[in-house]
Amino acid sequence: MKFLLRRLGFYVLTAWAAVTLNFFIPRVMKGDPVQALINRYQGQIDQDAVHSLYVLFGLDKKQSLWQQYVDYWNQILHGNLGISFTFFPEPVSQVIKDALPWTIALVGMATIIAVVLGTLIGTYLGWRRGTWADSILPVMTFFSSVPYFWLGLLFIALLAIAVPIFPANNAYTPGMTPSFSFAFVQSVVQHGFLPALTIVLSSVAGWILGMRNMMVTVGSEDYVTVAQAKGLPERRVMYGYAARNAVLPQVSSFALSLGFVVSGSLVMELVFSYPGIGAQLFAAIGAKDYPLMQGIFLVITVAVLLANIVADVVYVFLDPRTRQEG
Amino acid sequence: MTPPTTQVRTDRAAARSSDRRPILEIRDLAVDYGYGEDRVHALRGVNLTLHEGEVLGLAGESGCGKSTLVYGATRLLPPPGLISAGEVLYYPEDGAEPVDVLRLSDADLRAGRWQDIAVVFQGAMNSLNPVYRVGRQLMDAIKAHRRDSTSQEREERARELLDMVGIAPERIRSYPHQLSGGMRQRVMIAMALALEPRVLIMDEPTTALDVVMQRQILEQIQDLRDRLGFSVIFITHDVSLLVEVADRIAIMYAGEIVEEASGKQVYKEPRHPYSYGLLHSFPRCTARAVSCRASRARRRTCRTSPADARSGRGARTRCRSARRSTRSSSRRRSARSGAPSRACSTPRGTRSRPSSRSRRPGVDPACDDRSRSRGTGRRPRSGAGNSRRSPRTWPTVIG
Ligand SMILES: Nc1ncnc2c1ncn2[C@@H]1O[C@H](COP(=O)(O)OP(=O)(O)O)[C@@H](O)[C@H]1O
Ligand SMILES: [Mg+2]
Repeated sequence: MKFLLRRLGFYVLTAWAAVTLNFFIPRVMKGDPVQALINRYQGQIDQDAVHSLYVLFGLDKKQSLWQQYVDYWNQILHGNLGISFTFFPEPVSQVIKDALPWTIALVGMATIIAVVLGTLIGTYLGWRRGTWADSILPVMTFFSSVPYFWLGLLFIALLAIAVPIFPANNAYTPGMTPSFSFAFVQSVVQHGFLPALTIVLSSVAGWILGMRNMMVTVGSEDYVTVAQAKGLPERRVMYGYAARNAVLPQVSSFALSLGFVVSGSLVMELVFSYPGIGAQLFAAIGAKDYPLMQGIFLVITVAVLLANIVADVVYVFLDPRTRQEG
Repeated sequence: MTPPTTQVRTDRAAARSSDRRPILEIRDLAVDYGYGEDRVHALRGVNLTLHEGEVLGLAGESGCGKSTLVYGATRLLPPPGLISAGEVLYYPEDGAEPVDVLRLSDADLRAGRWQDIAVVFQGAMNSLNPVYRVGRQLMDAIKAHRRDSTSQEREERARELLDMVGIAPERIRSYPHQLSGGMRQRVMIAMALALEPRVLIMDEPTTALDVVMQRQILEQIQDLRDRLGFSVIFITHDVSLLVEVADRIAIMYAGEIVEEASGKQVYKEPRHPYSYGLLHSFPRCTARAVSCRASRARRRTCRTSPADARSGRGARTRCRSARRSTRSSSRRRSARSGAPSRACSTPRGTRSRPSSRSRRPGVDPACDDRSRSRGTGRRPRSGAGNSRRSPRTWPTVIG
């Protein structure tokens, strides 16, 4: 418990540092995004509106930096991340809210599949080292060493254009209204298949390798030999003793990779024109949409921190040595 | 050093052991590590018989293959270890024909493990899985072999086992990292006794412990054996300890059993120079006596590793250089003391128990040829390893 509290304190500190950084970066950058916006809406915005924009975007030159900082925190804590320039006048929080579920569902699902699959295959390969099954490894490593965008394009060319089984872009058939109807869900699954497949293919090798190597290491531990000597059934030894301990590092990398689900999907969303957070980030950078960028960075930071907290909690459950019992 | 009472007991036991039924018989067991040219012959045809109710001590320097023998005989050799020859015969309780452990089917092997032969491994410190509670690890062995037992019965048994080795039964709720080294060692002993095996193999179960703890655990083991009546193979490099606890002692050297006799015999008249070295490498009495005796004993024996022995030249080359260095210094010494240097061959019986007087420079343990061929139990095989066995290859020992 003490351990978790200490970790929590650390995360709070990290979150504070990240938000503060997020506050300062746009302020030290050159360029005036409000001016850019005014130019875009030439003549349609009067002077009062311009001033309110400055206040809204937190670029009010008349306020002290400290006052701006306090206001900034106040806004964040109320879930107000400002207003997006590109989607003016839509608030940033709404833009993120629209994009985030797509990313989390697709990339999150793909990551979980990759982890489970990779860990299972790795367990088997590590246990039955030196059999024909080892030849899976080079194939998987090939997929992970190919640049992701190339892999994505290859699969689009093969399975969406040459043999049009799957759609090449979007998250669902354009024109459908999002709902939980069967037709819509089916459309979503169909559209998500290729992106998910490519993500799994490109990342599973890492999970296999990690697990396999840990299995080899743990397999030579004395307690595994003892488990064998006790005459436990082979599956009990393999899962209960070897894999149970070998999986610990996998758990922490899994939690970390969950944190990067939010950010790590940029290339995939571009290749498959998927309306997720990565695509929004890309658009925001192109349009110098500082509030949106800030908002997305904030979400990414929070996601990574949350994932770390989850990793810590899970680790405490899995490894009694991290517990400090009285 | 050896209390008379113990000695009498071991003598009786030794006399009894010959007419006892064998329970585990290791025949010509050979184990290699690795493949092809680079392989290491860790065991080169080991013969060893354990009788019912007997404590068989196995001693030898570190790296001579004691643990390999344990792993080989229980079919637990880690890669790249390979059994290249031999049999391990286990004699079932009901007097049926012995079974060769090395040729058992996987299912039969698993069924027999722990039930027939249980092992306390050398690394008892790391023998417990850090993520499971001690109780669970005690109970899963019982569960695997006694399918119809209830979880209450198993827990009851686990508590009883801990109590038996002197650990508070509540400790079944502890994780291994919450126990001290000595406690973990005891837990492993308790675990090994969980199914009341007929054979208990203990690979240096006390080496990592301090002397007081060592003694406590040893007494416990002896006590338990007297009560439960299992047979024990007790491995250590502490021969003086074996003299106390073992009915019979086998001395291992470079992957072979070089001497096998009752504890008393080995102690009184070690016939192999290595046994002698082992026996007398333990400090006694005054500091001065300690240091010179120990260094002398060290010089007499010649360490070799299977890796060197692989080529068949190992022992010799290493001993030669050793001989050269000892010779010059010993010549000086013998010139001073006036004692004649003598090498080799003291047939059993012609020499009394080595007293501190007779162990003065010049009088030395023998490279008795007879003892060696008896110890290994067979004629030298042809091949590369052969030259090692000629008398000359043993260190010519000069005081
Ligand atoms: N995994 C291994 N690979 C190669 N050689 C090994 C391996 N394990 C042990 N050996 C060799 O086998 C010999 C016997 O080792 P071991 O049985 O552990 O000795 P002991 O238990 O008597 O100290 C040693 O010389 C060691 O170098
Ligand atoms: Mg050993």
